[in-house]
Amino acid sequence: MSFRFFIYIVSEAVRSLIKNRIMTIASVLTLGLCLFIVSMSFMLAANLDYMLFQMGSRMGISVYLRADLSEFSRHALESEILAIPHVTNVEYVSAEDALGRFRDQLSDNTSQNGPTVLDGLENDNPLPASFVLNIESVNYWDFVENELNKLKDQGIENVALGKQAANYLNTLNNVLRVVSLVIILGLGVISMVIIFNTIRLAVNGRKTEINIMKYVGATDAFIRGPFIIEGVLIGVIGAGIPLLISYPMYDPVLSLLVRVLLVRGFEFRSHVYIFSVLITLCLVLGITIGVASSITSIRRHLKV
Amino acid sequence: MIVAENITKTYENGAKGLDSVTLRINQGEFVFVVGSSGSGKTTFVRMLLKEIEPTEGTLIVNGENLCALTPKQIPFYRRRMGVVFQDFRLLSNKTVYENVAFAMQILGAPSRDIRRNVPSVLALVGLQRKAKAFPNQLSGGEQQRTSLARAIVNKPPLLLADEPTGNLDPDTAWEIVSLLDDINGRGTTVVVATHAKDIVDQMKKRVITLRNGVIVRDIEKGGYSDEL
Ligand SMILES: Nc1ncnc2c1ncn2[C@@H]1O[C@H](COP(=O)(O)OP(=O)(O)OP(=O)(O)O)[C@@H](O)[C@H]1O
Ligand SMILES: [Mg+2]
Repeated sequence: MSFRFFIYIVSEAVRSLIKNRIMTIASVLTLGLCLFIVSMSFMLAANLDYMLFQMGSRMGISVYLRADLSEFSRHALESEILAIPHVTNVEYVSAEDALGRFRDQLSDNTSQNGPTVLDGLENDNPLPASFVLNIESVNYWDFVENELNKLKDQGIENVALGKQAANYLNTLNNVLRVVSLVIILGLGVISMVIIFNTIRLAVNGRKTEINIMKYVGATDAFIRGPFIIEGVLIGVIGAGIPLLISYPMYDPVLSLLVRVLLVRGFEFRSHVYIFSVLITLCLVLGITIGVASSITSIRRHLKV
Repeated sequence: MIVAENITKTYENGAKGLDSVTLRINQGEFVFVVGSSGSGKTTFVRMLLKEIEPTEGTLIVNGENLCALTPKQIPFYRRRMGVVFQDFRLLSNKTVYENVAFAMQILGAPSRDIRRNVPSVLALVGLQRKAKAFPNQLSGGEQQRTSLARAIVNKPPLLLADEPTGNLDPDTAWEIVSLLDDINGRGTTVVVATHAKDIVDQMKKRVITLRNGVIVRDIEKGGYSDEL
């Protein structure tokens, strides 16, 4: 393909997009809307995933120990737990430590000094000793719980997972995925139909030209080229608009997320991370949808 | 140059466009294909362009067996023929010059060649003064001369014309036919499908007469209505 050929094809494509501008705008807008929703749901999903990931390593699983556990058995149990795959860290919290922490929390919350209800509990501590463990990610939660249950007769009283919050996030994430997938598929089909018709108009508008090209002996690639490039251009513009709009919207979306979920202390994905994925995703989707619709349109309406 | 053996074209609806036609047209010949409406002239031209295929028989053009041509080869096959239609088929948004240059551009010709060939072809058809005009500013004859210039600008060895004078008044028709004769004089084989009785009679060229898809007459230096 020569440079001149390339210039010819691109300028023909641009000319025809401008000529059928109403259809071009409709194509770009529907595709843009579709990709905008793709971008928004990706932003949310990526961060929900990331939060779930962080939960696994931040929120500990508490393994409460039987009160009669000897120090020796405790050490044995600790190494057994450490040996469970995906467990990254095990920390021993003695009954005294537990009480101390509880007291700290209480005084934190009430900002009270002086005697509290907990005074005098040192001698009759109701809190059990425990291991607090961290795992790589919430994905392994069920697996680790299962493994812990196998060790139950080695002195474990009870296993407490902070599972509810994770389940909540997980469900939210799944609902979000399904809903956005449905919307994206619907909009994707609509934009394909509109782009298909845009290219068909372009083909119809250039019947004589195609006819002449055919008789002079232009190759199929040459005749089809401008229409394919039209699809590519619609794809690129349709991808660019949602990217430009969603970039400044990322921070507001995150603060909305924080407010809706009432969560704190999580780290979010950076702009760079989100947009390097999104740029690729939107361009690939946009160009694929654009080119796929123009190829179908040409095949139907242009027998060369 | 063109060798047809028993070519038959049966359209999907059963109509016979051509029925067992056998003929031979040599390099450098000037041939009229005549016959009443529906006799198969356009069918023959479209077959030479490889727009349609014979349902039976073999057709060899420019040394290519048309039945063996793959779809990928068709554009390259077509580059060795020029074609002119009754309705000119010019691009209305391009000037005369651009319309002719277009035929070179789409074959990827260097702009240097385009700048050299287009003016000389326009001079050949007598349109050098109209190079900047748009088709709607031209008479029918001038439009047909433009399309003729476009057909020959890539210097094809074969020129096909399907009723090139069908939309023109007799005087203008003569201009076009004498241009075709000139082009033939430069060595191009010319095949003209036509109704124009006067022209055929006076030109004294080879005349192939079709009737219902069958060759009923094929005479050197013939006329339109010579008795059988
Ligand atoms: N695409 C087609 N489908 C079906 N039948 C066709 C088709 N094209 C031509 N025919 C038939 O084939 C026969 C020959 O038609 P053709 O167009 O070759 O005639 P022609 O000599 O060019 O006529 P005219 O002088 O009117 O242009 C006619 O009977 C016509 O009805
Ligand atoms: Mg005809």
